Amino acid sequence: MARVRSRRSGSAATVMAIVALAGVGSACVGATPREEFVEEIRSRGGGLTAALALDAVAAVEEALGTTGLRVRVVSIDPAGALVTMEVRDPARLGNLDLWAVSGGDVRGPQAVRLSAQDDLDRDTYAIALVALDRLEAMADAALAAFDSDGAWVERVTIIPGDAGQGQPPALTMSLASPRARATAMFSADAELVEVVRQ
Amino acid sequence: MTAATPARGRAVGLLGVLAALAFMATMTTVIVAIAIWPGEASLTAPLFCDADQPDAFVVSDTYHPAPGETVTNYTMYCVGPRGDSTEIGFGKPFLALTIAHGILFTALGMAVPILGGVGRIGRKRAGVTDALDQATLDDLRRRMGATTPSDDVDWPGSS
Repeated sequence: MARVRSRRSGSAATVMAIVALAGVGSACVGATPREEFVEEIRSRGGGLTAALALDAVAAVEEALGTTGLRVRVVSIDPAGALVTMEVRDPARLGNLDLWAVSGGDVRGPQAVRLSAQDDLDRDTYAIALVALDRLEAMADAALAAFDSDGAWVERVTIIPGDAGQGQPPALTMSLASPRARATAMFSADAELVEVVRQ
Repeated sequence: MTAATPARGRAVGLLGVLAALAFMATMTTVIVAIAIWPGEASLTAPLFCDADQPDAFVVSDTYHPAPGETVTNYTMYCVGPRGDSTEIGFGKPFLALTIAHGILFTALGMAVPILGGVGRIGRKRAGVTDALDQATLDDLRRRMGATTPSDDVDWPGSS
């Protein structure tokens, strides 16, 4: 009986030792360090999708209980899955509010201070004018034109044209790679205008 | 009242078994999924990742809040082909793994007695057969006048 007990305690000790050694020696098996994960995201293009922008617009429209948003500046951060936009308040057309959408969470409205020179009729445009549903094709075109190994999309910014001059909004895409940076400019209907290497 | 006592005893026993099972499953998940193999959480991708973000990554963030002290947090992400990602966290995968480990232990707990029972039946049958054969042989030896198994005996059917 004593021998049986001894064997059992010996087996338990062996198992505990194996577990302890495995824990010390091979902790993090199958885990990806944050730096490598960021590299993986960048190697896939940075995370820009049309759904990211379209879902954000839909979320703000739902929060406002309206459709057909008019916006001034829209900024998309693919890595953080964050979309911020300055939205003209449909209930008070003289007001501009900042909205942020990230991971399905909608934050806003936060008041934007306007100067005497700001003209919201001139500076805002219907977000539907921008071909957000073609963002992925735009990113592919921009990265191909950039032609730098390991490049990704860092940020997308949509700015107003001068409505008084008949200019539509424009979209700029900030590109980066381990060796260079560039800015790609698109028309609102997703045509690549130029890529400027910095 | 007397009929309720065995039923109550069985219920308490069942609760005890369930509690032990939950404890074992939780501890196994702590040891395996946190201490040894955090990547095990990525096996739960079919439960938490959409079809457009099918690749699961368990990302580790390591901090050193004080000299000699290291803290590592794990977070699972679902990642799409364009690098788009959704944070899942670690709580939901941990819970799913704990349930999976519990199911595994239950299956093992049911399989071991079944296999053990089959083995006992097999051994019992084999033992009976051996005993019969031995008795038959002893009887034959007595009839043939053999004294030891090494004696040359003309066994029936051997010629």
